[in-house]
Amino acid sequence: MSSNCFSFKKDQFNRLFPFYILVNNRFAIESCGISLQKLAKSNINQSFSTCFKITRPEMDVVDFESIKATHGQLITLQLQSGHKTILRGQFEFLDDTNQLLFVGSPWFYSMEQVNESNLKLSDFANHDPLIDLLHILKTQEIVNADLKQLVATINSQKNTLKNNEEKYRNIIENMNLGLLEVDVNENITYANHSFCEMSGYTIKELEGKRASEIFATGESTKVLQEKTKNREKGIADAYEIEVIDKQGNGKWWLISGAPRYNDKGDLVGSIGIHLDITEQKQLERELIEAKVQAEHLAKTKEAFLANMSHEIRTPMNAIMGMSRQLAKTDLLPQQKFYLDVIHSASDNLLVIINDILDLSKVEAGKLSFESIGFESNSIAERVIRVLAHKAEEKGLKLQNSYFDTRIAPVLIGDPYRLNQVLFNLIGNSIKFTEKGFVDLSLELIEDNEFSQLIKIKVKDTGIGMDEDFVKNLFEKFSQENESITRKYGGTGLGMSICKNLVELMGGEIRAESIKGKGTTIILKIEFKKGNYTDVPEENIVQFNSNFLQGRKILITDDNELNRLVASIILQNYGAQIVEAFNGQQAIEVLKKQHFDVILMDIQMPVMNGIEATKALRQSKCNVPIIALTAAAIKGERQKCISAGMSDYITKPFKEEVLLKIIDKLLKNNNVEARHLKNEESKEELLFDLTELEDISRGNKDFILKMLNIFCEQTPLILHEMLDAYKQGQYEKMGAMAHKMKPSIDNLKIMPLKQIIRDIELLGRENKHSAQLPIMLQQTESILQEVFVQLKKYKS
Amino acid sequence: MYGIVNKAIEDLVKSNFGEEKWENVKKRSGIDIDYFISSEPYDDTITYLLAGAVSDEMNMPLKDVLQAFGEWWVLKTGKEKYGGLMEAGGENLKEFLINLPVFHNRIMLMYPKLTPPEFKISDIKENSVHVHYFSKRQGLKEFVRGLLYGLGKMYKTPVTIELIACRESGNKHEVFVVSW
Repeated sequence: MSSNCFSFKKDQFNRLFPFYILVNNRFAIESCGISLQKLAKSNINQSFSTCFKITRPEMDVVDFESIKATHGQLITLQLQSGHKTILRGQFEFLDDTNQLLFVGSPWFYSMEQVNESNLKLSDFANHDPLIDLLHILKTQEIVNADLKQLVATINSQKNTLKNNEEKYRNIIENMNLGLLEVDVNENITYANHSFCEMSGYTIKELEGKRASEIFATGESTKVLQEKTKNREKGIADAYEIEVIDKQGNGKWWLISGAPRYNDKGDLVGSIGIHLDITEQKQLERELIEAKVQAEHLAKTKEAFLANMSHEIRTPMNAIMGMSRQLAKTDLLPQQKFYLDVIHSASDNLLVIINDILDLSKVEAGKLSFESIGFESNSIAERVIRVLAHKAEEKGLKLQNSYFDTRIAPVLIGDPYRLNQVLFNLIGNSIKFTEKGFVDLSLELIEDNEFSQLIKIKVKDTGIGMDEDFVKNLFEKFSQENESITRKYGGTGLGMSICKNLVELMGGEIRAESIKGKGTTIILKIEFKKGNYTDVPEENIVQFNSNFLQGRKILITDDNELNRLVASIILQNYGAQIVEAFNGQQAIEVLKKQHFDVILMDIQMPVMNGIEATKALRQSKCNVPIIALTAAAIKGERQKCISAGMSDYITKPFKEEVLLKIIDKLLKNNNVEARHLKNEESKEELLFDLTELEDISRGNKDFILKMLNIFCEQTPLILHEMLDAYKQGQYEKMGAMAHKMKPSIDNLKIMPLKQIIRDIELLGRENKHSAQLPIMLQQTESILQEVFVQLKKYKS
Repeated sequence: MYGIVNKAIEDLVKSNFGEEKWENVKKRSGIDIDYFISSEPYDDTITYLLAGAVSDEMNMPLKDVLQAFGEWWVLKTGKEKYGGLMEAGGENLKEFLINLPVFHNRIMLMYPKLTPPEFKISDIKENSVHVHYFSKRQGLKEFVRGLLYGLGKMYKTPVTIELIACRESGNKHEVFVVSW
């Protein structure tokens, strides 16, 4: 091979140009490439024009010379046989041999065409890019198919999104909750239909307006401003707010608000879901009022019971006291019989009164229980001893057939209430048994380290009860039928009270009964184990008939009978008696005379016992004062002691109880009484000045100044706080509580320590709570009491 | 690898086990791509993660997954999408295998972002050839085995394939003996 000339062997040339055509000067095909032969067989020596047609460039005459003239041009040929394949290439004139050489390759549009033409990849020269081009075209097709599929997927997702968006838009539009969107400047950007209905505005009236300017008033403006600040901090929350609608009507909305961000995460405003809770708020207010009313009714009921108790006990006191005094005189047998009947009837009446009171105490949760040691065997003994005569009267055998010796000798609990239950149960058994026996048995069921579970059974051979009635035995006012009521009397409250008492002692009670055969009541109560040191000592005092000799006692009671009973009892022991009809009169008498003891009724006209006692104690009177009250309800004793009384006795009272109290007070003398008074008043003080004393290092002037400031300013703050509550301005209410808190802490007004903090918290959260009115009521009443106490302290 | 490879795995799972399984495989692999574009190159890791997730989800050994995928690639992806090209590869299995090196060398030029494996053929006998597989990727020899089985099926020629050398045993490349 020289620098101007190449020479190839035929097979080399075929590998390089498998589709070549060599044309001689007769315009006949002299030879052609190996791959071309697959497309057009037996072309050799045939005229070029017979086998091929030149499709590009356009030529008028196709012959050797005209083709020679195409030198340098792109030529396309078409085979005239087979698949009429197009070849793409160029002609070169070979000077040495006077021949035309076509070098090129077939032009296909797809690999399928290649295959149809019976060609394989190996039929193409490696430098021929046709196959690569076809591959790229194929890939292009695949990519196009991919894109179509991708577009279809995107369209499908777009439709789904659109449908979802429409669905949610419909939900938002039609939901009963108002939806409001505002921008960062609080300007409304969107409101749904419900919100427009709630607020009374159209969307056009709302758009671009500031929500707080349209809806808020007073305090709620601040609330909305605060919420905007919260949203800026990314805080979402829910709150209640009072607003006004377009018509100027006051409304309450519950709003759940959240910040709103754009795609980049920048805050663009907030969104709020609004629920109109005006009706609920109204209902809530009504409920609170109803609750206050119910509490008021409960108080009224309590007062009614106290009055009833007083009204009944006062004459009872006279009847029982006077009959006891009468029994001390010489009586004819007939008179003694009448007196016994009076005794018995009044005892029964007292039981009924006590039953009614007990029941109401249980209902009011005001029944208190002792936790003292008592001798277990004394329980059975006492009840048998007291009721034996009743059983005997009916010819019944009353027995304690079994007392488990494993029962601890001393148990801890309320022996009085247990007695009350057993008296009631055995009393019932005696009442409803005509012949046979009434049996009491006590059995140990569980012996624990510190306690014992005792089973107490009261069994009788009485009239029994129907199965149906047994189920309702422990219901209130439950008696089997009217004839039973007529025949045996009673209120039908006894078993209900027993059940309540047993359950309040942590026990259980049930009944088994067969009509005509008898009844068994079974109690199971757990008592703590105790020892003899746990048993309170009982002072059995025998009073000499002259132990009040030389003592002067003032009896203050508006009821003549009561004064008479007390006078006769005390005069029998040598006391000199002066009577007063009310508190005012007692104070007048006390100004002129000295007394050793004062008996003071509580409910009296002109001035009651509490007021009178307070006045006496303020005037430095140290004479022991014994409250004589007919109101046997919880809290009464505390009220008396707080007023400065030395002790307390319930009418109708037993002679020995009255004498014992007088004896105790006289022995303790006035110093003791004074001490008692001081102790009681100290216990009752609602404030404690130690903190202030510490701060002032004992500077009394400073303390007084502080107290004066407290007494002057706190009522104003209290008033403002209550007023804010009434206006629904909870935040202001909370702020007032916050203002009051340091003073309450400094004066150590412990009952208010937590309450004032709770009010402050509710206010800060701008929340209402059902407890709020109660807490405010407590704050007011405790503070009023503190003001009174401070006034006394300062004087 | 180009998206077409991952798309083939997707098609394999969807066609044989359903759409739900494919969603599970994607979830398991941690790959959050909704649509693979055939002509777009993706990181090789995605393909490996998908193959691993298929193996876990179907409770199949990874080598079986890769082999199944190799067959799928030839019989479904190749035939369906590049049927003409595959057909033009040769009249029979032997011819196709002999042309395989040229075939892959062409592809390398057409896909500039591809790192295609390279094949060489030796020991050409009447009923067997040695296929030498050179790749920068690890762990795909079972995929190649699947491809060779798939080609056997495409030409309706039952084959036996024996791996006589591999990188794990110190050779620089894998050598398969394909006999029919």
